[in-house]
Amino acid sequence: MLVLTRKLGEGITIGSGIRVMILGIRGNQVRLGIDAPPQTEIYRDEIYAKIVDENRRAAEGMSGQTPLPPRLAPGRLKRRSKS
Amino acid sequence: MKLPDTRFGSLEVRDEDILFFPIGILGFPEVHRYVMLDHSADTPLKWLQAVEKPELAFPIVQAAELLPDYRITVSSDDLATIGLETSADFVTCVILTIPNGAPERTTANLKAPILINPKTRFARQVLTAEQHPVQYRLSEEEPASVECAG
Repeated sequence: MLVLTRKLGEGITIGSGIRVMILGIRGNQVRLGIDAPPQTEIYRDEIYAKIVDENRRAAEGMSGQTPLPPRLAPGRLKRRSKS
Repeated sequence: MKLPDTRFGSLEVRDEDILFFPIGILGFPEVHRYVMLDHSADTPLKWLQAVEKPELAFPIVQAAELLPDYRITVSSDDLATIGLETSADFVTCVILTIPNGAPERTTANLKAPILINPKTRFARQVLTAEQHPVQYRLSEEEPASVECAG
């Protein structure tokens, strides 16, 4: 991992389109500002990991033998008109 | 196009039915094309079947079928990736985690739904600004509204 030391108000540039600025430092918290092209995905690590984990669990669940969840079983839901 | 060896057997997929995910689904960035399949005629459960990866499929349901009051806030950048300028005209689906052999413990990921632009057939999984739960337990009762933290 590349390690750089920056001061408040300084930043780094990644590639040609991404800039990260140090906007504030208070105790053990650092406030970052990020400029990136709109298609760039930016996530907090912990929420990213949580969603990836949940997606993997969703893809692994329910074999052919498992009955439908009760809420989705036939007759349990009023069908709404499709939008 | 023929998709051999999916969990539904061999499938014939028409090009016009393919949904395109420009950035994939989180954790599966290499898979960009999916088709939506009905589980059966008598349930709103559907499957998002990967085209490039026959063994990959996600159980999903249209959010409106499950939670009429589900509301999300999505950034305009997220909408732009699927060719939308306003939040008016997309279909919102949520991914279900249906534990093998324990369907009563099914949860829905309300934090990161899938938005589909029905006109362009572009889609993406987005993170909602709201504090929706990643594991919303499907109770047997139909809820009046979603009030959830975390």
